[in-house]
Amino acid sequence: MSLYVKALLKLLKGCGRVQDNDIIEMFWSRDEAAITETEKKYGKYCHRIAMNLLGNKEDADECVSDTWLRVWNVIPDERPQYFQGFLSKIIRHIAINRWKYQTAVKRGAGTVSLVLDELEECVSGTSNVESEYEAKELSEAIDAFIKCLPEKEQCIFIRRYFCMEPVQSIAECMGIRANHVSLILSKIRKKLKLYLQKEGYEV
Amino acid sequence: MKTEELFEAIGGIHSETIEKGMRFMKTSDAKVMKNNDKEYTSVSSDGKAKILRFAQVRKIVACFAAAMVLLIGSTSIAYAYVPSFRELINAIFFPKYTTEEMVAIENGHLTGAFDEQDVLLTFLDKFNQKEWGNQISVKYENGYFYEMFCENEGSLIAFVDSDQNDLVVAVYMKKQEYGDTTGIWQVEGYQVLHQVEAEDIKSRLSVYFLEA
Repeated sequence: MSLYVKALLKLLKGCGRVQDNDIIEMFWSRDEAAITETEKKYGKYCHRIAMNLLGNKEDADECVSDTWLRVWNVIPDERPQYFQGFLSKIIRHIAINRWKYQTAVKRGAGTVSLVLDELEECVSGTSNVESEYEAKELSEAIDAFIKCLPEKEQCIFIRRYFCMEPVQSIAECMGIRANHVSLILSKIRKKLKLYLQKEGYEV
Repeated sequence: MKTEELFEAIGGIHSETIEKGMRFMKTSDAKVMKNNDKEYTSVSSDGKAKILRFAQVRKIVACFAAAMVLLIGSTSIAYAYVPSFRELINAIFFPKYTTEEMVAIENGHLTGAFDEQDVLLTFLDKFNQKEWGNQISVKYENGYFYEMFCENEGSLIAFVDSDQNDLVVAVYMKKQEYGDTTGIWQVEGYQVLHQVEAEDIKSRLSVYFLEA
């Protein structure tokens, strides 16, 4: 019963929420309320991605603030169709840059090292992605690969390798055991390796 | 290819793909939890998790309901077919003659209690009274339509036609020992049965002949 009440409250709460298109319009009209609304709607989400990467609250807060600034500067030129995905990419990029800066001093912050270790299975270790164009092509290939995966695997892959979410957290969210998530991830990595080989990448 | 290159390439996937992959992730009200002295936002209260939990609750409720139906069904069948089980249930739920009634019998009143047919008809009159709250009533057209079957010595079942064609009211009666008499009859319980079920029970019993 309480579940229904909670769902109803959530629905009522959601009624007052500003839609993504409205937020984008606010950014276009240079209305500063756009940042407040974005923070209200996606603040914790972005914070979580940064936290997964950096493992430090203060750093994550700074990344989130940088994200709002970046979005403020970028949006009048762009009109993102998928606002949440757009924000995810920006926060991830900012957080990775910060992580790179930090690892120049000390290694091991957040779960990035773990994720990199896992992804090592899919690649050879020698660099051949030389140009930005090739890097973009690789992103396109990975995008196509993700789209070919079943819905559940897509979700697990994105959460683990894009958001760097802990396996336990993914398991809780998906309602499955952590071991099961690890097994699925292992299968996806094998599939990705085969896929990249097939696409002509040296892995 | 280096791991870092692959890692960064994953960051370059389309926003649409990211959104699709993140569709079950909460945006604004992710709960902040403490775990291993490390703060991270939890997704335990996400929509997907709630759906799963809701489905789990529904599963439990469904299992419980199925168990209840099974229990009620098997109890009902056992009540109809197993006299010893019926006696046990009756002993728990149905009252015997009250003290006043016993006194009345002792004083020579309630003589009908010695006659099984009288006891049955009195019961059926009461059965048709609205205050009993029965969904059905027994058929009455210048009398009731019933057949009596002997279950074992001192116990019988009367199958009474109801006002619904396919349903029959089975009235379980038992003779209680009473002093030096042949015993007093008492309705121990009743059960609404389907015609087919009633016919099946009847086939296992012998017809009871009323004493002249």
